Amino acid sequence: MEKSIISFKLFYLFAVLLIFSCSKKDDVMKPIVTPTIVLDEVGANNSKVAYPGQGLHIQATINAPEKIVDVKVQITLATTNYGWDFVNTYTKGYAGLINPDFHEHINIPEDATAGSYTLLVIVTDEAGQKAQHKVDFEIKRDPSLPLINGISLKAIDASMLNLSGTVQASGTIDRIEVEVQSSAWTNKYVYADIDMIGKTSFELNKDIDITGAPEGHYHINVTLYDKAGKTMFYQLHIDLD
Amino acid sequence: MFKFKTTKLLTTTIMASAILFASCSKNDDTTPVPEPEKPFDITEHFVAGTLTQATGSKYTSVFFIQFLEDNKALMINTSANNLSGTYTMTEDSLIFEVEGGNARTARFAIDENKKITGAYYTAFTSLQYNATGEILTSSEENALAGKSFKGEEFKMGDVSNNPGFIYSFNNTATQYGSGTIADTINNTRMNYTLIGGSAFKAINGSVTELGFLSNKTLTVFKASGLYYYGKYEQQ
Repeated sequence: MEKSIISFKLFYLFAVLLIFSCSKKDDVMKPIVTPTIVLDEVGANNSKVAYPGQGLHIQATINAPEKIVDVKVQITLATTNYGWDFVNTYTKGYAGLINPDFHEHINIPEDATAGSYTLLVIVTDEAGQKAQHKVDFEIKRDPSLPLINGISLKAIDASMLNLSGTVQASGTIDRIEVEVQSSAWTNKYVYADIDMIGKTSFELNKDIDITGAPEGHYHINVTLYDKAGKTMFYQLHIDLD
Repeated sequence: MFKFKTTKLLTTTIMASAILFASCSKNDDTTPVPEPEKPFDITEHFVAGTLTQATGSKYTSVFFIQFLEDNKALMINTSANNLSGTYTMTEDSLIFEVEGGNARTARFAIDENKKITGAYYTAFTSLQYNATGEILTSSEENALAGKSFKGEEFKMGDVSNNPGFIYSFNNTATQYGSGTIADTINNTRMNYTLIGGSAFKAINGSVTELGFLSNKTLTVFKASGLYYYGKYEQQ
């Protein structure tokens, strides 16, 4: 009789063990936190205006508890018709990061149709969760804007770049600012030569000393200012190796 | 008797332990569990098709429709700019629409395997077309690179222009050439934009060509003053 009781107790113990030992640890519910993305700036100073031949400045804040996989940018006409469009998925500089700042300049072609466009950005995290933000902006044509025709950038050697082109500014030239930027190194140059200021046309040919700049991918942000306060922005890219 | 009961108890304990361990072994330790099938995502596909006027001058052209986020879609044809529209997808239909001055509708019947079983296209509310369409999977890989295709080229409809016309795609660059004598074709003559991995659009001066590869057949439309069209088999 005593042995039967022991046997029953043993079975009971094993039954309990059986039930509890098989419960998965990962059954514990984790709160699902989705990423968010907010477009802080679209166009210079968040003007929501861009010009053909100029770069569209985009700045967004991403709040992603999980590491992100990519950021997709989609630009289409706000209405249905023939127009410029742009779709690109960015991974470089963003994939694998938590809460990165998203900052890109998208070149708008010279022949882009003027009008109202919709910018959509979508962030995807490693859990496959997505968040998006949509903002409308205008592409305008302004013949009085200053511009640099045939803008060209080349590396002379590891410590020197050359920037060239024909500057035209009906409002007369005020200055040119050049920002050489990588994730590891940034330097800013301001050109306001006496032979350039006040002119409506100027052959630009500047050697840019980048001594100390490490190897890597660089964004060369060129901003042309005229005396009327109008600007034209270009973003060029170069790999230093 | 005591020994027998002790043995029985021991046997019972061992059996229970065996059940305990066996019951806790993970199912996926030995048997592979198939991955759940990825749901169909139209943004990872595009439609490639042809349009032939239902009346009048019946020449055939090629078009593509790319499906974007937010139910936006782009129609790619010989125009310099793409035509931005919207799309609606249901279980049995896929509809691309443009409103306003360039209004048009492309409507496709689709089956449960996401294959197009019927196509309809109208533009400017009155122009009717005989349409075809295929849903192709977008890929980063270039399915055209290094391949040659040969077939009959037609001019402005049903008139045969070249019975043995060849398209030859460069193996490394997004370039191709075409002609009637294989050995003389310069396959770096035309630069093209790859669309979805198996379609292309090329513009060179007044010449615009669009084509797509499906089941080892290249379908091409060329606008070069006159209109040319053909289906070319992979060599």
